[in-house]
Amino acid sequence: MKKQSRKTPELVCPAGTPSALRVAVDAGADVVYCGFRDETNARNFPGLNFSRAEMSEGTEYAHKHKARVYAAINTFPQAGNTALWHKAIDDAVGCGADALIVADMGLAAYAARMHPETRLHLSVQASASNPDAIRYYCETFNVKRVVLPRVLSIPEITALNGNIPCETEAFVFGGLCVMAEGRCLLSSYATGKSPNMNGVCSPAGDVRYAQGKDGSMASKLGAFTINRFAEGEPAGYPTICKGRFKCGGETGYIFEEPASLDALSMMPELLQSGVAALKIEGRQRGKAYTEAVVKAFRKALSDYARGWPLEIGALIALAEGGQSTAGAYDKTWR
Amino acid sequence: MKKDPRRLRFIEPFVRRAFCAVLDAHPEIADRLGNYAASRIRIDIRGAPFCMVLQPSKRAAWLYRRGAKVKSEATVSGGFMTLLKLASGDGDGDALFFSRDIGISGDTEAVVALRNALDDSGLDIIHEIFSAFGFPGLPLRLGYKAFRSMRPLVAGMFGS
Repeated sequence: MKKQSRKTPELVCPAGTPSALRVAVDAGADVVYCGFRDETNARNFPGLNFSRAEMSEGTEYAHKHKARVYAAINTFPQAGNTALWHKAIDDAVGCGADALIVADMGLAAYAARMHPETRLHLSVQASASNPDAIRYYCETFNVKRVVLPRVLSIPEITALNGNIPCETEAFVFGGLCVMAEGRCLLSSYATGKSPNMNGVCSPAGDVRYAQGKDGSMASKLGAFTINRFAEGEPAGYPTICKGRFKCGGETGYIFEEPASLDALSMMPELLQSGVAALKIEGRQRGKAYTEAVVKAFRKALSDYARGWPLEIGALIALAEGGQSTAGAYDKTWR
Repeated sequence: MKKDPRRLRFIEPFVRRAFCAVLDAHPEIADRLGNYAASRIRIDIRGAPFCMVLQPSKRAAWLYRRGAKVKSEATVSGGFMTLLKLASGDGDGDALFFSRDIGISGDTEAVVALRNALDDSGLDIIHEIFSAFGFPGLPLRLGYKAFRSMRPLVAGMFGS
């Protein structure tokens, strides 16, 4: 059943702009994933993403340097408006993308039917986390790889890898979404927009920061105050899941503290679990982030292959809230 | 016409010229900004006696005395070197926000669009600005790199 690769895993890296794509490739990415400038991908931020021409040029650059490009078309088409998503699939193939990352079943069916020669990957947004669900996607749409939700422990990933007919890709660094990805309604509750349908979690248009005279900063999402940071206190993203609220007479982080995933310390176990690819989150981040994180993980893979010790914690300056966690990979995390 | 006492008109033409030179050299910035190019973004350099307001669609740059009430859609604040790093893509905007090295207020969308547009542009801000005034770019760029390497030393003078 298991079809996991035994070779060095792919390093799959984010790019929100053509500059970031080139930086990622130059820093040692095997694969760069990116999306078009619209709501067909889950990082639909102002000023971010690729035009069709940029996607073509980026793919050409990557291929010239022996890297690949995966196109993220991983939001769910809106009722009565599937044309935008279908066009994104067609155009990504036309731009030379090496694989399509989709979440919606209808879109997976369209891609499998119209472009059977192009690899199909299942986005984390599909939240497929059990063998039956993954097997269904593989058998029905010929999905070759599934991006695993960031809620599975390493023993769970190992067990999963032994029971599915496709490769798996696991997040190792970046934003940590602890909800059932693709099904989270927190952003939608506060703003009417969600990563699932609009490609934005806590859309910037609904975010306001208020700077206090005492050096404090309040972050607001729609009508809700998400957090208030004291002067000098490291800040986090204005997402409800990372908010600090008054609840039961106490003020604290109800869901999760602002922290980034950093699974570099768990990389040996992750590799032994049979994952075929390690994924870095952060298409919304700057190219300085891309360069630093890609280089760190490329070096870690190289050090691991040589049996050298891994350099842990070097990326803390890039972490949300100034702290990192191994997430669900480490069982001490709730 | 009555003079606006808040403005620093003497320096404004130089700032505007440099800003236009950057826009001319990097048309992709306006392309990425889209509708946000019409936003007036206030750049607040911590510790400086002035603030800048930039409006890309009008190729306009205004300089105001610190503390002056200025109409803008959004504000980005930070130390001189931090803002320079951000504009040049040498620093990650989110990380600088997490560490509170930069502050944001007003229209967050406009700030995010500007950040992304600048990050993609590959802007070498020192080179562009000095080239706008006919100075050779390369020696200044090398000087800037040396300046950055002495950052801890100059941080106290200009703000980090």
